[in-house]
Parts: sequence; structure tokens; C-alpha cells
Amino acid sequence: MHELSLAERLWSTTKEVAKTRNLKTVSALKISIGECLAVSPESLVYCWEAITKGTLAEGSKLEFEVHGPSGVCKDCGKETPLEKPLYSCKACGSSRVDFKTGQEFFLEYIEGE
Amino acid sequence: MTKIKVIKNILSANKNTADKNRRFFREKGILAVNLMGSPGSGKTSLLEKTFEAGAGDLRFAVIEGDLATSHDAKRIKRFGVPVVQINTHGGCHLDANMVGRALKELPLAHTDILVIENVGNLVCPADFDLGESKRIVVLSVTEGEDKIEKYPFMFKFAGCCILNKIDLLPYCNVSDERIKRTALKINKDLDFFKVSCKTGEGINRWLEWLRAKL
Repeated sequence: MHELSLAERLWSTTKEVAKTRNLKTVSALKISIGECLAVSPESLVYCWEAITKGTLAEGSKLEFEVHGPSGVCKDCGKETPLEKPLYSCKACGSSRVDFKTGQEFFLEYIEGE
Repeated sequence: MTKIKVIKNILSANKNTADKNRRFFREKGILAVNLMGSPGSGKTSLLEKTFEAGAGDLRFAVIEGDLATSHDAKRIKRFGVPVVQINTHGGCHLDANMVGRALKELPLAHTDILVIENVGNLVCPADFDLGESKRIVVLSVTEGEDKIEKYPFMFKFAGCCILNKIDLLPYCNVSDERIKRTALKINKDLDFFKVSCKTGEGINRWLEWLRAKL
């Protein structure tokens, strides 16, 4: 639901990178996204297209790599993928877990020239 | 074509500001709680009942988050509690920066507990750390039994869940015990309270919990 603010932050980072690396155009961005984040890639693309219209990143593609949830169990100490729907430890079933992946939103790389 | 490695955490700006807020609360000895829940679940009513229920020795301050209007802030002001209204103008959650700015407008040298009432929403606020030490989620019996499984992250990362409107249980097709069981299944460490902001039932137990966190 907050894709617009994320697209704006993505755009400000893209502008910085384009400036320091002298890019005239940006054609693609690779994003790592956790599937537990309340963010829809489809909506993000929509916001990205609106924000970058008429800029050096107009028409650029967003590529997503979606990461499922994993975490470290506070009860058995194992690091496992987390089981839905309760996001519990796969090894012992405990709900007491510290998330390692599934909530991230990283800009991995930018392609341009 | 050049490929430029960036590897930047786009959410880090919020996290850094949240950590700054957290350090500030720790230095001042303030318990900051992030109060979340659906629109109409009874977040502001819970605060009103808390102030009424003899919390006179505790010094509260409140940040009210809302898309528009200052209705909630007006309700809090009636109790003589310092309050700042943040209007997000369509934004679906508060972020750490909004909270950081609001802190400057509150008399925090004279505050024991800062309540940050988030925008009514079971989705987005769960993604945004504000620097709070506890997350509290208010759920009302009229919302149905399935909300915990539908919005797991709101409950997974909360320290306390308050089931409100228990006076309406005879009229709703829900079981308060089933709601509690599901909540504890998703988060074993969750403290769970049943209250009615209408009758005042259960408010004292919640107040005891709050005092114990100081």
C-alpha cells in the first residue's frame, strides 16, 4: 500500500547513482524484495513508471527477485525457512522466530549507459 | 550498457531514524508504545479508558496519526494529556521521521509513557519501525475471528494484543477463546487481554501490564 513512497526512495537513489556514474539513461533496476513486506511489485511498477516519466529512467524495467521468509528459532536455535500461515520454525514448529529474510527491500544493481 | 552494483537497503532510512528515536526514548527513560489496529477497533477509546481508570500517577503524552482530521487529538486533549496530531494526507502508516518531528512538540521531560497511535490499518504499519519499545495491537470482536491469520505480521511482531468490545460477544458469531488461541499460535510471547472500552471491563489488567513495562 505504500508503493509510491518506496518508488520515490528508489528514484532518489537511482538519481544519485546516475549522477556519480555519469549515466545518461537508466534501462533496468534489479530489486530484492521480501514476500512478507506489504508491497505489490505490480503497483510498484505502476508508481515507478509515473515517477520516471520524462526522466533519464523513463521506460526502465524493474526486475524483482522475491525472497521467502526464513529465520532463526529462539527455541531450538536452528535457521530454517518459515512455515506459513503462522511463520513458524520448520524444525520444531515454534512461533518464536527472528526473521532473517522475507522483509527486505534492496536495490541490487542499476543498468544504464 | 553498464551494470552498476548498488546493494542499497531502500528501507534503511526509516530504520536509522527509528534507532535514533529509540536511543532518545532510552536516554529520557520514556516507554514508547506503537498502538495499532483497524479503523474503529477502539484505539482512541482504549486511551480514553486508560486515562479514566486512575492512571493519574502516570504521565502520558500521545502522538495521533490519521489520514485527515484531528478528531482523535481532540478526544485526548479533554483529559489534559499533551497530544500532537500527525495527518498523513492519504499515507497508510506513520514512519520514524514523522514521529521524530512530532517529538519536538511534546513536553517529554515530563513524560513516562508516550503512546503513538498509528493510522488505522492492519497492513502497512507492521512494516515500519518507529523506534517504539512495544507494539500493541487492538482487535475488536466485531472484526471476526479470521483477522489474525489474514494479517499475520501485525500480530507476529506485537508485544501485546487487546481484544476490545467483549461486551458485544453475545451478538457476534465469534469465540474470544479461539481468537486468543490463534493469536498465541502465531506469537507465543504475546500478552493477551480482553477488554470492553464501553463497560471498562479488563482495563485495569491492561493498565497493570503497562505499569510493569515502565
